[in-house]
Amino acid sequence: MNLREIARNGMKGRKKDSFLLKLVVSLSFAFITAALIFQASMEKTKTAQREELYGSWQGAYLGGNEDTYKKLLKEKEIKTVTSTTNIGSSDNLGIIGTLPKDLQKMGNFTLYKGRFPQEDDEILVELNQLSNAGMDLSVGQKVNLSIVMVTEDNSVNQEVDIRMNEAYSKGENLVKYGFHENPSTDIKDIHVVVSTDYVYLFKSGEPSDTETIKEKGFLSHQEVMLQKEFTICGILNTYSDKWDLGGHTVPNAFVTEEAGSALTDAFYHNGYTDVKDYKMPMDIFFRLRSLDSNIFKRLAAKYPDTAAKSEDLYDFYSRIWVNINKNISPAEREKISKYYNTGVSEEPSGEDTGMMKGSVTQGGDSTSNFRRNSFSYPDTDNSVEHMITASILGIIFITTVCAVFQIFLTQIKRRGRKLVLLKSIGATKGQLAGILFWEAVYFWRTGLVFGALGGSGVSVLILYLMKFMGKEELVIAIPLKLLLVGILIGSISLFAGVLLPAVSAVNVPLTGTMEKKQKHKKGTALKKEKNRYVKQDFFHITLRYLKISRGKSLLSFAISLFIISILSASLYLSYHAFQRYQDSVLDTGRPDYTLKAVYGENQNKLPEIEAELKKIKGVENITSYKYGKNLLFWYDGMDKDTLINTFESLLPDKLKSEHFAKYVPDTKDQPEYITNAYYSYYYGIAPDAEASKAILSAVTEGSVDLERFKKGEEVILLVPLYKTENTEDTAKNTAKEEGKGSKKAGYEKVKAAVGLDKRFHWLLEEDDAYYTSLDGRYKNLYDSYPTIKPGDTLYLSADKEKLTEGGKIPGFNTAQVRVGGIIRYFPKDGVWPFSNLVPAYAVIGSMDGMEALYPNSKMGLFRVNIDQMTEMVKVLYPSSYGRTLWNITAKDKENPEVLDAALLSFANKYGFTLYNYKESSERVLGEALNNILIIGLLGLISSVIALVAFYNTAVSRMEQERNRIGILQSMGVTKGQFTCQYLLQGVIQGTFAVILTNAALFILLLAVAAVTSDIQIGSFGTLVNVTVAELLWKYPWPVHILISIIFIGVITILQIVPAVRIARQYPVENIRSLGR
Amino acid sequence: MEIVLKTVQVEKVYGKGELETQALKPTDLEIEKGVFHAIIGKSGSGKSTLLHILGGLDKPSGGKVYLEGESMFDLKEKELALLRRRRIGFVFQSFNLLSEHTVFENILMPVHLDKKKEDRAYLEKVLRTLDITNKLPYYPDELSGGERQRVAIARALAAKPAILLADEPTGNLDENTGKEVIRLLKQSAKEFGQTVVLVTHDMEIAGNAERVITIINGGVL
Repeated sequence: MNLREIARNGMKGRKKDSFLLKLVVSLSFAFITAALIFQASMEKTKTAQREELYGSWQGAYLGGNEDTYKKLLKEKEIKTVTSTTNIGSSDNLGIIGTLPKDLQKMGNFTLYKGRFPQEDDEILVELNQLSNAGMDLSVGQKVNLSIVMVTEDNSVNQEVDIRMNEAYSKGENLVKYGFHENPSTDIKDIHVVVSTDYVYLFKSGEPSDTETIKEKGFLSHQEVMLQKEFTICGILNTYSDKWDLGGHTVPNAFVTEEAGSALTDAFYHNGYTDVKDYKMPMDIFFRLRSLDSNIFKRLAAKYPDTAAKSEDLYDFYSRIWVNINKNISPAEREKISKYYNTGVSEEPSGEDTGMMKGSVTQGGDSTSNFRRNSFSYPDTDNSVEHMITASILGIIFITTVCAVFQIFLTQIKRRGRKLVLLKSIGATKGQLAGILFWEAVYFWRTGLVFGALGGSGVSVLILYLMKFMGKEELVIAIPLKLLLVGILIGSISLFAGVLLPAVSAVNVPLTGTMEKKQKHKKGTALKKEKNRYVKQDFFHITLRYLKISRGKSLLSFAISLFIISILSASLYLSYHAFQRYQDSVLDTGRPDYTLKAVYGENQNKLPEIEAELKKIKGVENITSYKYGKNLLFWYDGMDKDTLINTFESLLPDKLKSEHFAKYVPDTKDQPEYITNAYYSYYYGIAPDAEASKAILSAVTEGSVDLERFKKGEEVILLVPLYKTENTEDTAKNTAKEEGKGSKKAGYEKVKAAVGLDKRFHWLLEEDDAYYTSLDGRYKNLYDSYPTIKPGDTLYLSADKEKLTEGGKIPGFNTAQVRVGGIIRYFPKDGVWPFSNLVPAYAVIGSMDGMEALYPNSKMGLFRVNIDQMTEMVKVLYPSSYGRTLWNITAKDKENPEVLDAALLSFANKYGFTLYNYKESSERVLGEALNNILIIGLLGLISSVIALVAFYNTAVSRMEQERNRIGILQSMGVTKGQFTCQYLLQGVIQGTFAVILTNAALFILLLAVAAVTSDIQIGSFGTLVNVTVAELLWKYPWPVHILISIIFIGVITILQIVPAVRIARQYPVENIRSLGR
Repeated sequence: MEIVLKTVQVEKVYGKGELETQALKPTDLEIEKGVFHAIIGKSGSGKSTLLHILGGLDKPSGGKVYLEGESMFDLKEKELALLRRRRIGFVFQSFNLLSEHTVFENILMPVHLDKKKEDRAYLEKVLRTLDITNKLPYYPDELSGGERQRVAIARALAAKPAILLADEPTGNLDENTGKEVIRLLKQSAKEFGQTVVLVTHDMEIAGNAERVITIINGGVL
């Protein structure tokens, strides 16, 4: 019989013991494979979901042409190339493109309705485009398309002016003629119109006939229009505002390649003008052989951007002129001229939209033509997913090593006598080691067969079930390479766990045992003599036993500590994974959508708009606000306001005028409350509206007199909590260094970092001066700025923006208002958009109060259309017309595409801007839930393995206690008493483990807070407050407590079960010396 | 004579089918109050099995056991435990003292487990009789085998049981110590009017008994 057979036969004789180890090893392998398969499947599913949303193309060249396409075709790294030809744009359906099969596949286009185009007269239209065009969302409709291709668009105004001026200086008068022709023809079912515009300058008397104009005039504009009737065969789910296009446009409607060829043929063979040099723009998409970032870099270098045609500034202003020509006075016209002459060199800063980094609506960082699809294939080298995979392997490795070590050691101790027997009959250490090695090999083999294969099979089965039952598409992935690594790690953990017990077994002495003899403290006996008749009930007997045998309890306690640590850590990590969603969506009360009008809508029209919005299926709730920018805010004593002074001193000079009136020429020679004012915001709310109650109830200081509030005599002030980063003196000194500006951020950085509304908060923090926040978590940590309090008077003013012939007349509307209440933080959830703002002194008042300062905002659009209003607000009246916001909460989560399209259509109809927060919120939530799932799985896996080890320890301990139990039984101890003992023991042990883990977790968090927090921590109380605010804010304590209770319960049950099993026996079965 | 313990057709069978072994054949037995009984038989004859059943430490496969008229195995688990605690004292061959407790604590344990106040005068008499008064503060592993067995006897007597059962109490002791233990056991029984059932395979020890019950191949003669 060789060593392998001895090992195998020995294991057969120890079926129970062998089974336990095989179970642990199999579980370990099973969990490794299951976790990796689940993780890979989740990752693949996420990728598939991203591909569905953002297309499965990996790279693209947008706005290329046939040459670019041919060049890309030759690239070795590129596996597949496809393209769409942008035939032209239409008024009603946007850009029309062709749809090859490959693009259909690579774009992962999904249909809302109907089918893809098959015939020449069929067209597939994007859902939002159809909504935008005000058409029904149904297929089969006929649509007459006029596709326009602009072949010439030359800026001639400047040239004409120069020629006119030259002639004028020579004493000549030139006559300017404009000439337009639009001949047309029919090519099959396509009606072709060629429109051409000429500008011709000539001296009086010179010929100015058509031929001469066409020969000598300037060709200012030429376009070819292709008209054809199409049938809408399908509606494509919106994709163009989702993809990573960097601001480039892609087709909104698609025709077949054949229909595309017919249209382009008609274009090139129009019979009137030679357009052979015109290159049809193409959007080219491709997939690579490998997603290596270096390949992208190399290709990007080979495909630079097409030269961007910068819009002629003169033309731009002319366009504004033409647009608003009919509605402005000569004085205003003059003012515009002045603006033009001086030039608007700097674009004013905008507000922050509240969109998060990574949100798809940002359109990526790059605007280059050559693009990587970073939405579908983000760079995941250092992603959470990779960290989680590494954690899975790491934690299971440690758990398995510990579990195998513990169980094997227990068994080896029990087998001590048998091993000695083998030694006594001449077995060498090497042979003993060989036997144990073969045992490990058998465990490994079982683990491999039942664990790895079984785990893979079960997880794939579960995934199939999930796929079958779930609504979401689930991709099942089996990561072979990772599985091999996992199995290797599992194998190493098994052999590592066996190693130490094996060494101790090999070295077991020939005499004696591996068990240690019980020790009594010296002198105890003598002490006991004095207490001869001390009462000893079963509880005290148990305590004595536990005290003496604490070494035996220590191992199971250590394992239970490990389990609760894993569970607590998993919960904390899950909480942490949820934090981004909590912070950016839940805590701020961020709506699903926001509509923004660049003017203040008439109060009477607001209910109509709300009603119209509510008619859109899926809209649940709407809150309207009107707000005014550039509110000149001042109060008596503001010159001593350290926060504002610090902010002013830190601001780069070029940006000071955006925040402080003293840097704006118009405010010169005005009263102090204007000259020295700080620019803030005035938000007008309807006090009786349901949503306003949340704002009124968020007042943390003072109270609001509703009547005065409605009249605009009283306001609520947003004054964020603050905390100095340095000492107060340092901050003040910083404030004194006027003119020096920020030490850390220059103009470019400050301007680019955040929007106007968040600059106050950002700059103070960036320059290590102050933290400001409206977040309730800091209420015990930050200070309330004391210079302003309820009852104080505020001077609020707004520029009248009155333009006359002589230019702008400086004038301001001013109101003295009382501070009714102050919101220093939001006690519950935040109210959007205020929770997203952290400038000091944003004012919340009634809509009437707002309109008193911004009277132009009363009228809505009145006599101008939205385009004219947009231009006016952009150039002439940046603040006096106010703004309007509608926060929208959606309820229709089933059909988001339709709601998106309907709201976009609504926004386009009114000329509003739509901010879609829902998609990014859902994405953040999805990522959080995915990470929670993986973390939870990881925690559960490790805990189950550790629980098996714990159970083994409990069984082993009970076996050791069996004799004692039998003796006590013979003396009349009941089963109930034993149950109570182990119940109590389990509860005490579990509770102690919970307390210890919580203490360790809290100490760890304190240490993390101490190291990572930027806040100066002067005392332990502050440290605790920082920890609670930054690391435990809204921590799910009920779940934590529930997990702790469940843990204590499980630990107790696992101890009771083997104990009761023994106590159930008759004493004769338990007393060792009586055993048969 | 008053009967303390009585068995009616008590038997014990181990295993099933072909592996079935009858350790104790159906037995009728009566134990008289205040009498020192010895059960004698060869190794494997079933004498220990009978004693364990008499003491409620093992369950018979059939038959009834009456302790002071009460059918032991018709009692609930808790009642049987209380019966063991209050009315039966057991002395094992291998002492079975709890090593984490002192001698005194071991002796008092049956009394204290029953949440009763100990009869100090009685206990001190028992201790004196067994000559272990000076050993009380020691732990069992600090004592000799004979001393340990005397402690075990004291523990068995502490709760003033209706019957004291001793399973080969001298089995782990040398001859002289064994004799001494038997002497003390006999003396205690006499002193306290205790009913004793002792199992032994030693005829000389059995000779100390007032009544000897012989058991051969699982059957009582």
